[in-house]
Amino acid sequence: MKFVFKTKNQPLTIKMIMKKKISDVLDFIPVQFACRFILGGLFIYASISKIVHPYAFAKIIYNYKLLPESLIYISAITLPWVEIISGLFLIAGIFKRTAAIILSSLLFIFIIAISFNLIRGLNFDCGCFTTVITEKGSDPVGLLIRDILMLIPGGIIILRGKS
Amino acid sequence: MKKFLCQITVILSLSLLLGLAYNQFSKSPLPIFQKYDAHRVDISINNASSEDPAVYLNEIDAETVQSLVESNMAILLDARIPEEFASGHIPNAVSLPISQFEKRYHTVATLLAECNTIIIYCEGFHCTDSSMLAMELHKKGYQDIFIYKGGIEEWMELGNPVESANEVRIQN
Repeated sequence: MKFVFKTKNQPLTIKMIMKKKISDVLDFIPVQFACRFILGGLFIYASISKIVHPYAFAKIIYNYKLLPESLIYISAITLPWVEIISGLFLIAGIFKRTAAIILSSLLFIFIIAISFNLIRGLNFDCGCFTTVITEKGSDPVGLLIRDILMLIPGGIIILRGKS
Repeated sequence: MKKFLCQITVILSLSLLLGLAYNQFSKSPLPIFQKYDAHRVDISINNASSEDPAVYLNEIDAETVQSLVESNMAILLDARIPEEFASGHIPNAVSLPISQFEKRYHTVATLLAECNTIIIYCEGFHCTDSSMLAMELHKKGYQDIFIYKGGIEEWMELGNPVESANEVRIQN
């Protein structure tokens, strides 16, 4: 067993200073707000086209070939509303961390769905921001990178946000 | 933890309620408890003023397809990609892949103008290309569109002849 005693007079190492600086930046209110605004805003923007064109969205979900046919309509109806409500709550500051957890879980599901279809080599439309079907489908690697990057603001809110 | 579960329940049930309510009052509600129908065509995307924006386009069976095409009463469109068309299609079908609709539409426009009735097919019961093509054609103003839901799969299962060609047939 190893015991570490910390005293007030212990000299600060560079690592400790860096750690302190990073957590200061993450706790900085404008940073927190920016994260909430980016993540929430993106999901609100993404949900609108899906709400307006539910059938086109159902078709996109169907083309992912991951859900049973009986669950497609109900997901197409509910999912965009989960996105818009969580997005609005996140920006408004209601249930911040819960909303961030929901949106990050959605991103996580999207990442799995996209990778799954990337492995299967299916040509599919992401349906992320628009329900318009494009000529060649979406670029799955670009989508994956974007979704993984989007996990960052979510993570900051979940780990450092004050609920 | 309890608080977190409560909040998740609040957000999810609020979404479900709003989603169901919105669906109920929208112009073309989705049939929630039905299975997904790959051939349903949602014309509301292009034509918001239509009285019945979401319609199931007329279905048609293999026999009718054959008789209509043989008697030159209808034009048969293959909505699949050119490679699939080349490897085997219903005789007399014309290729109009949905993925290249804008690029290739003008090549079949004259043919479409000659025929009143359009029949569209794709792979089979689970493909969506034919209904998307139907929607695009509806946008261009065509009214008399039929979808052969069984597609090439059912056509072949029934033992009907299949034509294959390396070049795409376009009659002018």
